[in-house]
Amino acid sequence: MMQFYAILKDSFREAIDGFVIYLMIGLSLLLVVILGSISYTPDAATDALPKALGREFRLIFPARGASSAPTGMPVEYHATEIEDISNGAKFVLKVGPLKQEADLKDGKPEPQKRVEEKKDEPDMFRSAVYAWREPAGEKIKNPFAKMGAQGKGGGRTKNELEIVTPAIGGPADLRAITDDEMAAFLKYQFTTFVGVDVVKITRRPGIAEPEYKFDVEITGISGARGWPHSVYVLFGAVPPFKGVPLGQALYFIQDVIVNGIGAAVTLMISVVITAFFIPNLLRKGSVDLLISKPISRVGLLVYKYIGGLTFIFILSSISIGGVWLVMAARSGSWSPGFLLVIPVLTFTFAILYSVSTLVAVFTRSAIASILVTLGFMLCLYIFGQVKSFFDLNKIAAVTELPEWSYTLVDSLNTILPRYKDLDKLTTKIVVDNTMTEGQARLTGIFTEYPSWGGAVGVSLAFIAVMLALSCWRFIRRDN
Amino acid sequence: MSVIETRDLRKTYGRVEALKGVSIRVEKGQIYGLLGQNGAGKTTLIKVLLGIVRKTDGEAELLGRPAGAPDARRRVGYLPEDHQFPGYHTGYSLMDFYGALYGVPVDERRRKIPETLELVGIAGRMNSKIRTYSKGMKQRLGIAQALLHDPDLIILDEPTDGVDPLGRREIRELMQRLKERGHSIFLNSHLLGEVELICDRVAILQQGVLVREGTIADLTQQKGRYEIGVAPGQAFPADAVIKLGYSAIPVPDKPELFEVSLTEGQTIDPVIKLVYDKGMQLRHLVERKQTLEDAFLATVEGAEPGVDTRPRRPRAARQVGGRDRK
Repeated sequence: MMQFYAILKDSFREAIDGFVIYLMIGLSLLLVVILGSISYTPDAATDALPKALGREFRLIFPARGASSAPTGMPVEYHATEIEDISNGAKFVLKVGPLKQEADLKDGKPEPQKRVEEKKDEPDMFRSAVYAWREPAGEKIKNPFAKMGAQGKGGGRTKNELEIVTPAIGGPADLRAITDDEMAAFLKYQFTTFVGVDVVKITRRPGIAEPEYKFDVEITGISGARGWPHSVYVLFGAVPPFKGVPLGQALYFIQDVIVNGIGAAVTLMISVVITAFFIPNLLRKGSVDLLISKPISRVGLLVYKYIGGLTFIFILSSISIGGVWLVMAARSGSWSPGFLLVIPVLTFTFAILYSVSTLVAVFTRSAIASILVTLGFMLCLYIFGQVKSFFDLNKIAAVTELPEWSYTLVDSLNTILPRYKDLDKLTTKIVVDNTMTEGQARLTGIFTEYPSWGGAVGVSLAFIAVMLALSCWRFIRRDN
Repeated sequence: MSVIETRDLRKTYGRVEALKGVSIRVEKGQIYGLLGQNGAGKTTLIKVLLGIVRKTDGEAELLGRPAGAPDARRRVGYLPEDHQFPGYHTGYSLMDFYGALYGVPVDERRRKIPETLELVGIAGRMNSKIRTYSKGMKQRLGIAQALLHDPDLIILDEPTDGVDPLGRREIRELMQRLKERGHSIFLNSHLLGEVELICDRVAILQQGVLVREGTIADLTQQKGRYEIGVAPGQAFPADAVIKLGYSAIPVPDKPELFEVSLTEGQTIDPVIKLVYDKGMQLRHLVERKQTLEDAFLATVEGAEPGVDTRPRRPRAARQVGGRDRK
């Protein structure tokens, strides 16, 4: 343990010896400061509610939300008599059938036409509550394929696009829906798609069905992931972005800026910095000193490898931890899931660094290590994009591809480290921790998330093979 | 008890034979010098002992354990030739790093590092980055790191390389003190004068072959050659000595002295008796010796330097030196 700690400390000294590490820490801190300059102010309810009650609010997850596949009902929600209260709002929620284009004249509904032509149609809101309460109806897999794209990869994946038909209630079933069930349904919709707490929701009597009115009081709009916010950048020095759901703003910053661009830059620079560790260790005049000490060559190499990983672990802890802290403080969203990006990013780097180590042991050249590792990183990225396209094609059947191409891509995916999968998994972490539950579930429908076991297991096996080859070469080599 | 023992040790790099059946034995408490030209196999021998390279054949033991065994390496301090210390370390942090690799407890390291650096004369710069050290300071640091864990055996490959004359003397004195404390020292040096001054035994390697081995006295002695002189005003009876069957020639630059050479089975006694019988007075009689450098040069004279036998990718067969020694 003393030797392990000594080599970690040595690697740390080596890492902090150059200016690049300080440049990276400086850039990380700059990023933290910039993101800390962003504030998120919940929009007034009069502006926010029309957006919050938009298209997603009409989606329904049957079986009281237990169904993973959504369905929908043509119901329209409209807020009136809106009153802002502290961190919340009071308003009247009008619910009625969704007005189709044909029902509108100059953008206004034609009441006479509706009454005459649609009086025999079932009550859409009660149907929506019934569909939410009851288990889902028939499952429809790969609906795009059914629209004329059969045979284009459909049926190759466990995660086919799946929607469900709503449970259809008869007139008696719909009449049996109680006011409490309607309130529970609406409460679920507000929680799932807006992320606010419903303090009170009561149906107003005396409104002719199929129209409904509910007195609603909500709270917790500050920090609510689905509530539109105004995003002020650089302490308000530039005009704000208005009407952005908080979750989407946080998702963009955390996944696109930090976990996307920031992580890619961090990985590349880390590859460059740490590429010198092993060649320096193997340098003539240096390696003799180390090998003559009572430490095995395997131990020496593996400890040095882990030393390289601690470098990016510390760096990502500073940047991601700092970003999380300032964003949580500014947005009020203290969900700690984003911090999981730190170990995932470190693990992603572990894949790349195992390649760098192997090249370094064979060539003793830092330049060769950098070039091969960055090339490998690019290949993995390209392959990840190809794999994502094939996965999407399995779901959406965009184009017809030969059978062998699926076999080839799946085979390569089996043996190659799951670089893209790890990226998808961190995206999932970010989605789950920034977006509302409803948005996160909808995102998951169009994304084939890999399993943690597969992504980590195959990547670990790859790392083990790379390190085993490196150790074998190091042991066999006369220095 | 021997601290180093090799028997018919062989090492080849591709087709290059770096060691060709070397057998040596270093006893505990000795300072043992290893001499040889560049490429003679000295560094390879050390590397085999420390497990840095693998032997091809033969046997090598270090402190009673197979060469390269970690428990043996724990009791050895090593200063390699052309060592390169990481420039990002200070003298202190490097000692701390290596001490930890040797398993020296942290408290002991804190106490011993300044002491050891003081011993080699660089304690005043122990908190400076190594990249600011001179060659001599790095060499002293190298010696210090080899001593930190109080090893039983210290292997020094060119320890005075780059060190000024005063520093060389300090290092010699340090080695003497270490010997007095019971440490064994295996010394590889080109500076024959130093080796002669401090080593108990010496081995000479030539192109991978052990060509001479013994004490300094053994190697420098010139058996059967005497300088002899008689009292002023008397003429040395060279002709009579030659008639006795000896050779007698004037010593260059010393006309009053003659060099008398003995052949196998002869002693100097008949020559002394002859001088006295002729009524002369003997004033000078010394058995001639040579320096270690003379002995070394005499041993390797005529042989071409070896090749640097560091491992390279074998391409084609190469001839070691300039002639076939088989």
